[in-house]
Order: sequence, then C-alpha cells, then structure tokens
Amino acid sequence: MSPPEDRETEDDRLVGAAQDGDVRAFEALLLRHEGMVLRLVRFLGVPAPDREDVAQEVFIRVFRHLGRVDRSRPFSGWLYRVTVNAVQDYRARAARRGAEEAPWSEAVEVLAQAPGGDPEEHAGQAALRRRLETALARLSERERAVFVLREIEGLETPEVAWALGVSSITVRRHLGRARDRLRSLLRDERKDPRH
Amino acid sequence: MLRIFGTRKTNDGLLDDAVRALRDSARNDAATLSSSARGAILERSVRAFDPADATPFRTTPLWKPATAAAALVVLTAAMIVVSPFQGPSSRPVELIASKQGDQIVFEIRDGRGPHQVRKSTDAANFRARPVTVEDGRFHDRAESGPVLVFYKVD
Repeated sequence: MSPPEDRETEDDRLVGAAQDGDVRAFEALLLRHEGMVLRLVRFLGVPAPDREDVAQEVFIRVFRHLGRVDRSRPFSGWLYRVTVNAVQDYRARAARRGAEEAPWSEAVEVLAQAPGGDPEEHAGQAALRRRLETALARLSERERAVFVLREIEGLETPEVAWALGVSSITVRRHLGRARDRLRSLLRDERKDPRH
Repeated sequence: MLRIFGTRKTNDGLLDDAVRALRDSARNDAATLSSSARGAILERSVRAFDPADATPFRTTPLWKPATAAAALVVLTAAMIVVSPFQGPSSRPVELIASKQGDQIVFEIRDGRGPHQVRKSTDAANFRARPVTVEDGRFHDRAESGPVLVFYKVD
C-alpha cells in the first residue's frame, strides 16, 4: 500500500481532473474509495441489504458537489464526512419508516480473515470482534461514529472532529463515553452465561 | 506486556484486543461495489453534476450526458450512453437498452435518422469511426468487467 501522503497527492490530482470534467477521474476516485465507504457504512450499523444503496448515495453526493471540495484538506476526510451524513440520513429515513435496525452482529457476515495463522486464535478473534460489534450497535449514533472513526479507521481527533462537524473537545468527550460504555457492555457480556 | 488470548483480561485490555481484532479484519476486508452499482453511480453523477458547483463535464461542445438508457443494471458491464444535445425545441431522445444473449441492444426512438454511433472508454474522446444506424437500432457485444463503455449518438 502506498504511503498516505502519496495517496492524498493522487486523490488531489484526481479531484482536480474530475473538477475539470474528466469522467475517468471520477471513476478512479470511486474505485479507490469504494472499499472504505462500504466498510464505514457497515461499521456505522447499516444492515447488509442497504449498504450498497447508502454507498451509492455517498458517491453521488460527492460527485455532485465535487466543486466544493476544499483541496487544502485530504479528499478522504471529506469523504468520511459525506459518508457519516449519508448514514445519518439513512437512519432518519429508516426511523420514519419505522424500520428496526438489524442487530449488527446478525447483519454482519464473517469478516475477512488474514491468511495463515492459528485457526483457534482466528476463532477467538472472530468471537471477540462479534462481541465488540454487538456492543457498538448499542452506542448512540454520535458515540459510535466517533469510536469507529477514531479507533477503527484510525483518524486523528481533529480529523474526526472535522468529519463530524464538531469540536475536538466534543470528540474526546464522546470517545470517553463510548469507551466506558463498551467496557461495561463487554464486561456484562462476559458475565452472561449465554456468551 | 504480551497478552495470551483467552486469559483473564482487564476490561481495558479486553476492549483494546477487540478493537485490534476488528481493525485487523477491516484492513483485510476487500468489499467492493457491484459493477451495476458502480455504473449507476457514474451515470447518476454525470447526470446530476451541478455546473454551478464546478466546471461541467468535459465533452464535445454539442454533447452532454444523456439521462436515458444508462441504468444498465441488467448488464455485467457498466455502460453510459451520451446523447445528442437537446435544444429547447427538440424532442427528447428516448433510448432503450436491453441485453439479448451476449449482445446489448439499443433502440433510439426520436423519429429521426439515420444516426451516427461512436463507442469509447473515454467520455471525452470518441475517436473511433462511427457506425451509421438507419433504423434506430444498434447492438454491441455486452462486455463484462469494471470498465465503463460510453456510446455517443447523433
């Protein structure tokens, strides 16, 4: 994988070309980032059958408003922001329809497994992931978004703040709450004999 | 401290291990959009591109992306049809696309003709020699794969 700065430079070149109307640059941006968008949509709790629709909405918004991209910032940061907003809108629509959010652990298929390694450890890791997935689904929308962007996607606090349109202080506060809640949920689950 | 999986952990350690497991799996997760979704995104984006926001799509001067016949979800290959520029008094062009066997068939219903059809993988450049369509109907091989194919009709 290329270093982040190389990726940002290439993204910026493609954004510039797309802003000039180069459809191939749009396509290249799509191919470069579709995996990230699908992953984030998933971790933010969109059930599997709806993920592709939400991802489509994300890219259509991105391309429709590409002229507004602030090129002094990484394109991926803006993409995170659009994705989070699209998921929030999806959730609002789902709430109006009265649809229940699918329990994440049930909706999520088996996550990719790194090749090789100890099968027993893989099973243990998979179980641990499922427990965290189940616990994440019980966080508030904001707490989950902060936790996923900061801890899973690995963004820095100011990047998370920008993606969510909040202050860094708010990010730290939500992250603290999310971690406390997750610790508690994981502890409770460990006590539960069904797990 | 090296932790051995399955041993008793503090709550923080358990959360950190779970986060690490999820992060590692996410790194190996190679989810991609289907080619039909990809085609639909590009088609809708081309159509919805807001010229007030940025420079319009670069196409030949008398052309703009069509709104018809591009949602080729039945195809394994994603395609976009570029239609003639429509002036205020001209009739809208109706383009019908269907897949018949390994062929993609287009019907141009505008009551005019003959039409010149060009094909390209670059929407900004249609250099190939055009095919003349007399009866408003043309076909091409339905290719699979992620490459977008553009057709320009005039």
